[in-house]
Amino acid sequence: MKRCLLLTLAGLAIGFVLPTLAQQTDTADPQLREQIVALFGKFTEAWNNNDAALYTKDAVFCGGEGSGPHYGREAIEKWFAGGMKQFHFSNHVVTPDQYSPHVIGTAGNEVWVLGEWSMTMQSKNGGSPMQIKGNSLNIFVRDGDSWKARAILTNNAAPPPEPAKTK
Amino acid sequence: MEKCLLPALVGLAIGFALPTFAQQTNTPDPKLRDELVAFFKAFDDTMLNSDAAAVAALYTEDGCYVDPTAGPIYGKKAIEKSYADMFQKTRFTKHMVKLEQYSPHIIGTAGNEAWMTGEWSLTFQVQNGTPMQWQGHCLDFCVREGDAWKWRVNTWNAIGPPIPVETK
Repeated sequence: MKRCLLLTLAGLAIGFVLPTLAQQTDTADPQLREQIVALFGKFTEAWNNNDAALYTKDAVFCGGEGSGPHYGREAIEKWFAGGMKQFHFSNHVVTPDQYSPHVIGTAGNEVWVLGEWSMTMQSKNGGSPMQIKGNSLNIFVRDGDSWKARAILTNNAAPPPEPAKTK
Repeated sequence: MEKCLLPALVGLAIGFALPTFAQQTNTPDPKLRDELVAFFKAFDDTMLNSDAAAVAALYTEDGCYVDPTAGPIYGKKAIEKSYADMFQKTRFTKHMVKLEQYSPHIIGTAGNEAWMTGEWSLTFQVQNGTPMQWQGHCLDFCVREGDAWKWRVNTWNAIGPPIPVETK
């Protein structure tokens, strides 16, 4: 009787676990993940410096506020410059989600990465700093020893931003 | 003088045109584009029919839908539930995704993986509320499974909040 119960429970446990594993079995390669974490760090620096060098020449970028698609480095830099004129950005952080990066194909030269981003923005015409956050889907391609962005779409999480707490 | 001016103008025109071509030279394969246009048309239909199971069927088993607010939703079953919950409150009367001109972009050499950007627009109504319209962009990564394309991951952003549909 006990044996039957044990087997039933074991069967149930496997039954619950297997579908979950089937849905998400992608374990990111730790070394590759480190490279992407470092890349996101560079993106933060680039954001602050209005520098699109981390994008491929033919990259596509769609901004969180629904702008775009911006094609090519020049257009992307122009979009960033427009934002910088109106707002001051700080505390920009992007982290890959727990299962990213995902290698595309067999050569290992392309990956897709989900990112969670957050930052503080403040209008240069005054007003309270706002905390904003969202997700991004990134397609990166290998460029020598590093990676470059081929396509990025960022979105803003609703509800609309709350004023940042100030001391 | 005129003879000198003409080559100079042609040179200038080429000079301006080349960097633009360098930025975006992808001409999508027409057959592949047709396949993916059909894929997005199928998605539009599932949305208009409020059919959560049919939406989920467009994803791979380990597919991921990134909702701007809820974040990544992994797996067909979870995606189906997410859409089913939404369809209980929301009805779509227009739903259209249009691939942008340079998409799809094939990745690798096998031709079984592609990413694409697109523009979406829709009209929806939450329960008995005012009909609203909304639009934005999307980025999708699809893989071929047999004869069908499926989403491995997709997400979207919006141009501002939804606005009421203008009525005469």
